[in-house]
Amino acid sequence: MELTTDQREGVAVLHVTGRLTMAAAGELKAAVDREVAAGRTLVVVDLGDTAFLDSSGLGALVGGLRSARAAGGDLRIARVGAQVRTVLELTTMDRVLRPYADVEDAVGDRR
Amino acid sequence: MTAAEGAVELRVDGPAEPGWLDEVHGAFERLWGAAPGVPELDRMRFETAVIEIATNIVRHTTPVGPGPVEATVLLRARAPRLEAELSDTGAPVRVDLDPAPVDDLAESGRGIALVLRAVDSLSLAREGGRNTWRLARDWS
Repeated sequence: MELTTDQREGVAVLHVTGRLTMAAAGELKAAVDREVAAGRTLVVVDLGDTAFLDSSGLGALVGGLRSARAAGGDLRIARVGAQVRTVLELTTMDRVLRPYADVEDAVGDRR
Repeated sequence: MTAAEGAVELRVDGPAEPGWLDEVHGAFERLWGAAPGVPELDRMRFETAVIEIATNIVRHTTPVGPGPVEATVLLRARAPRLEAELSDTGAPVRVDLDPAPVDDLAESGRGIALVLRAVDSLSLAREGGRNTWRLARDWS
């Protein structure tokens, strides 16, 4: 997995390229925690270039969601592909991590 | 690679470490290349399930003696069925194949439930001193 981060006022956009699986889960969770600790409590994870998600990667997203919510923010996912959507649906976690069509929708949603 | 008329088989052996998982991902690329008739939905669900079990082996299996746990995955596509057998030389594992649902904000505990929804059958047995998982999914 490759992780790149765009930082804005109060917002971090993390782009995940490759596979978000066991080997990458810890790195993603640490990156979310770092952004939240720095005050960027709205974290958008761009999964547009994420080829594969497993339950470990999903666990890291949930962990990130917990961190962001604990700081009064949120974690949102955007641009999910077919395999990622399959994992979200089969685990029914699309109720909790509702996919946004694109990053700007996720950043701009005032819910 | 071709085992029988219309069947495609692939096998990946290695120490039960993250590098083996990369090889299993690579084996799927070859499997789908060699079995182009399998619909995308079935590919995704089956590969997702097998990777979950392979990851479970890497994370949770402990060696019996000196040296690492050795793991093997056998993948087979034979219309209309996808099958996988994963086995390892580790200590006997006990896994609940009917897990209770986890809380929405739990960070783990979803793997086996995900597998059960992604394939038609899943089993775990101790055979010949190896933990042996079998998964199957029929495509339509």
